[in-house]
Amino acid sequence: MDVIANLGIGLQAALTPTMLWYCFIGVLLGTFIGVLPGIGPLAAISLLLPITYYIGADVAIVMLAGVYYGAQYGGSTAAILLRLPGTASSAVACLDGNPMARNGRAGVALFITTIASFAGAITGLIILIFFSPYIAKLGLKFGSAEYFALMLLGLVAACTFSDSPLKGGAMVVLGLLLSMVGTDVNTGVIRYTFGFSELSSGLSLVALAMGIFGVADIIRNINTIDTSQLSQRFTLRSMLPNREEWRRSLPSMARGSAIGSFFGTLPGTGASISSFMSYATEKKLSRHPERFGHGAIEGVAAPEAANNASAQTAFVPTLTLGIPGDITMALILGALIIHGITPGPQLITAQPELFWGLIVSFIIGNILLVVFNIPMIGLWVSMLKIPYRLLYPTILVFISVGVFSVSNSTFDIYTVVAIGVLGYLLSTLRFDPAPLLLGFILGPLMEEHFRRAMLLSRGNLGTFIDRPISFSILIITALAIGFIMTSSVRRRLKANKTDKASHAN
Amino acid sequence: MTKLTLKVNHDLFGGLLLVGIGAYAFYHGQQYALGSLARMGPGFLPTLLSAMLCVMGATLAVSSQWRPSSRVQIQLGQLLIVAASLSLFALLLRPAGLLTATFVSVLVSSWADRQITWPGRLLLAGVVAGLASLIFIFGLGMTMPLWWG
Repeated sequence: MDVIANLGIGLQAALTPTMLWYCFIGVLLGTFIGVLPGIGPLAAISLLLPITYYIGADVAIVMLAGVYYGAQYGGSTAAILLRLPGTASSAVACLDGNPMARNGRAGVALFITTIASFAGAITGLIILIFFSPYIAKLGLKFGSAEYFALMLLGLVAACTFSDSPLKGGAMVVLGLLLSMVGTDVNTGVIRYTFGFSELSSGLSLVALAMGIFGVADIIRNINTIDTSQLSQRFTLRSMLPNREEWRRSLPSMARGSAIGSFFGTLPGTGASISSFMSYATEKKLSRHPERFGHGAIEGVAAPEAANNASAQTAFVPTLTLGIPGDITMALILGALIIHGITPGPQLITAQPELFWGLIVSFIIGNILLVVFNIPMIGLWVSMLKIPYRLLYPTILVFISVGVFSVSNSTFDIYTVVAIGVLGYLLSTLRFDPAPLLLGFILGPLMEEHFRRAMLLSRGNLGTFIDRPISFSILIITALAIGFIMTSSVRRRLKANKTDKASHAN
Repeated sequence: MTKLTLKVNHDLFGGLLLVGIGAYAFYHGQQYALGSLARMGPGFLPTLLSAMLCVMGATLAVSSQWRPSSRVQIQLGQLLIVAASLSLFALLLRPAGLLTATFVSVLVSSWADRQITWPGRLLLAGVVAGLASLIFIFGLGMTMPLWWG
């Protein structure tokens, strides 16, 4: 019954005209950004961050969150029609969505992604509604040792699931190192500022996110994105799946939603990992794995459900523990903190109308997205026809203005240039930049909690093992590391074997 | 200009890049006090992290020699053009205003595309400059100069 009462509070908060308006703007913008290849929700959220200074905290988060989950819906459109993923997590939708489009089933693929996205999002929201209060209660028992252990688990999980754990790990460490720039909280010593007073408060998160996910992506995408061969028209009838397609995709959506909900809740792993994992699962479970890559509808339904489920459950650790579930959540967390709200175990009880209002607005937003993505799909497809050579110079200007407006300083634009160059080099050298940003965000939090735990235990590292919750989290972390080791060794052995086999021939 | 590219083995180059960053951070971090585990000084984590980065980078660079070489192409030309466009924007914004900065920035950044023509480029720069001024200065009321002065 608690749930109904809580949702009642939420409904009251969410059904005001301003909340509805910002929810609408957020999901509209999110779909737009998601559809356009070459600009992701992260860049869009960093751009909007300065604007949120002028509006209230609740509507700001409603809008930013709308951009985030809206982009998860829109991202698959370009992936299916042009093989150009609009967001990182929709890269998987290319694998089977694009072959479906080439087989003349583009409308069906788009329809199924929307339905799968909705199913995933609603599953994620149910998890969010029922589990958040429990996790918040558990969170009240957390001390510094537990927070440190949990963040360590997040970082380890982020590298476990990247292509090469060594490269992912190196990115985490580089991100942690970048977070050392600025004034040390405990001693007041100014580190790594190279004489620039602007750096004494640390590298700006917005500048870092825009450099890595805005500028670096643009440098990579110039001359490679070609949207000119697009010529589809969609009628509602051509979008409806037949009975066989429904039968195949419904169980996949259920599995995808479950996988996405799990990885979303885990701090450090988000939408991209969820969609990759659920695609792999579908392929493994299928009786005809050879159909995958040639337009298997399961390969479209499952990952889309997964990335939307994780986009919603990522709010669980963010809102109940104050630990960002993924990078986008970290930006949203930043926005909350700017508005003087510190998410943590007390948030649900101290500000129930904010917490439940957000959740109800997510439900409303997802319903809006179904409307945007099925009857209005033609509009988005026509937007895809805007050539990239007109888009990227415009995006660059928006990035510059956005970064400038955070603290009215051109210094941050130069920071974006430097970070953008570094980000481009790293991504071209096949490093995944997501763990870097995660390390950067969790770095200061981890340092603070580690030091506090050490101070309380007088330098005794045993404190992490003596406390039962912290100990169990560390065991899970150790298991994850063990999993990385064994799987990479197994992969090496397998590669050697095939090497020898090919030599023998 | 856009044809300016560099081909490298990604694990080797990437590993060496990490070692470079790590070594510099380690060297620079020596001026901060280390402290002890119970009372960590400001230099404790930087030293630990930069050492870890060096070890990881070295492992990557060395292990790349056993794997079949895989080369990637770095688009140096595009990199330089985009960096120049953003830097010019930053340089021009205060003295010359948003309109000028945007116009110049778009002119430079559109240079990276292989298909755009000169009239198209000028038109794009003009339109974006106008739009940006309308949105940011008149629409959102941001405090930045529109024009010289």
